[in-house]
Amino acid sequence: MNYIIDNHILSFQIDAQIYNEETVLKTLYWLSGSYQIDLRKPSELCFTVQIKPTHNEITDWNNVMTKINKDLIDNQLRYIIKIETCNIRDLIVAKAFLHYDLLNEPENPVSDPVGFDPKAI
Amino acid sequence: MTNTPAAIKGKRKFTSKDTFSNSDPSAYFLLPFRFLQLTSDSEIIVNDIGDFLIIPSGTVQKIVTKAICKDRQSELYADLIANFFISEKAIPELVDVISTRYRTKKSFLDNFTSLHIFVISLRCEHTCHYCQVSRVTSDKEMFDMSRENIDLGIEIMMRSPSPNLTMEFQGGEALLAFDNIKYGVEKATTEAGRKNKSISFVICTNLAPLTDDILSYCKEHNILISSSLDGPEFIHNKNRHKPRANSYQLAVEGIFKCREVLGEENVSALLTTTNLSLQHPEEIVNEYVKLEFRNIFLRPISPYGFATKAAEKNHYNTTLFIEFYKKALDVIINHNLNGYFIREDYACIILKKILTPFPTGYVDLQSPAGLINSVIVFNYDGKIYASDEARMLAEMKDHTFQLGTLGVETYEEIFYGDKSQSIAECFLNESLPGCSDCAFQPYCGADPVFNYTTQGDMNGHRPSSSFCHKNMEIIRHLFVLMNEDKRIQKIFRNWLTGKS
Repeated sequence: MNYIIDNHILSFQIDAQIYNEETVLKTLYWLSGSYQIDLRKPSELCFTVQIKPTHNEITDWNNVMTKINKDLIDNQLRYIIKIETCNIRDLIVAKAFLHYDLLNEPENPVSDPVGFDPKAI
Repeated sequence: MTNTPAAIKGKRKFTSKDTFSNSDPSAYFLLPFRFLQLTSDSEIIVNDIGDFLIIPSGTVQKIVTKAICKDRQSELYADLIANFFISEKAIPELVDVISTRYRTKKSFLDNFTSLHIFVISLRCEHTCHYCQVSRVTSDKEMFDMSRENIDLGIEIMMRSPSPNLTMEFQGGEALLAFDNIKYGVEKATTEAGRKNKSISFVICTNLAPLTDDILSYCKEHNILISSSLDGPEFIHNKNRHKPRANSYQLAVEGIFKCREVLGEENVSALLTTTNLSLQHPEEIVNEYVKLEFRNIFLRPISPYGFATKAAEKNHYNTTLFIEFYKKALDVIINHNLNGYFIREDYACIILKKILTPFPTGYVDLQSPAGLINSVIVFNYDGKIYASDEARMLAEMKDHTFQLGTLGVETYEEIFYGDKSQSIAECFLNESLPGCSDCAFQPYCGADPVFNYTTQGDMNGHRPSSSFCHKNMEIIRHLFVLMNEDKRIQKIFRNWLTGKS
């Protein structure tokens, strides 16, 4: 992925036909502790991203780009897993709690708004 | 028709092996799992029930793109099937087994709140610089829990659906209000008998006020003692200062007395790691071994109360704590390799989640979070908090996690009210940003109080979270240790079974 560094700001584009918005957001989320991130989608074809260090420290942008590239692929794989397995995950959880006993609700103390105490009988 | 010898003869007794073989890699279905890079050349996949596989880097991509061939990679394929990462049917035949195991992992929810903490007094005779809550004072009226509030707390406790209750007395120094502890133990024992519940008691104490009479009472009522030991004398006394006294000596003498009267298994000690402790992992572990402990809990300092004021002593980078933890764990493992059984409690909590189908009772590492679901706190002044850390936060004048007041709100308002419901929205790590995709999610937990205290937001921000940083690194380290040295894996398994 090509990138430009100008005035301590890293700029690059992500192909929106390969990576969806969820994948891009999850990738950039993990950079949000150290960087200010500006994400835009000027067209259906691409995302544009600008990243700036929060504290103006010297940044090894090659390492950052390596991480972004790897995370994009990993998050796209996670997305594929999620889409393929969401129904079976729902089924597993639903079956797990299907027979969950909700009858053990805490008992209410007997009370009466007019002050009558049934326990006193 | 295929041109096989069997087809030609048309009378072969058994169908050939190939008939049952799935050579078409696209013929399997993915089951839910998460993954992350474990080391530079390996990655780990973990499913919702905590089963895991450590595989070479790049394997996840092959699994997801259905490039794993049953014939050519038969061992990996079998592992993936057996550990519920893939299935040859859209709905696996063992889906009920997976669901049952999922339910088992969440079984800590079955009985709702069991641990009820009574802050019996805020008074204390120690002046620990990291203390979150205590007061050095003799004003009983102001800082001791009233009998009326003890009664109301017990009443709430008995409404819990749980058949097994724990009543834990905390301080300040709880033993300074021992008469009230006795009152609470006797009242709760009677009420538990009426409700057909079993109840256990714990006193958290620095052991300084311990007397023979107190010990006899604890023996008679099966009361467990939870104490503190921060390491060798020079560390303990620095961390846990007691004016005009040797805190270390009192703690050690108290521990031995408790062991003698109550039995070794009924007394425990907790370590709190300060900046001073960080420099002495070996000395701290060796102190525990010298005192014949069989467990040690390497706890970081909590970011609450007075602990936040003594910055030079109590503030440290999570990275430094992780380094300390790893060094101390190495020392502990070496003691085990040399034949002395001693386990690290935080590792055990995580290992139990990794290596067994069962959850743990540790409230700080659960999802849904332990607060409210597993623990509730009745403060000395009658205020009710969602967790012990929540009441520590309240000592900083922040009552965000106060659920009510004894005698004012009903059980339903406390446990199911608006405040509890708003906390519930962020106590599932399955739905938290950053956690929802994390491979270590089944072994970790959610802690809205910690998130709120450190980041001002109950949901938290994982990229800058010290909770996330610490747990990710510790869990990763445990996996790496187990994977690299089978002797260590055996030690870890022994920690869970208690066998030396």
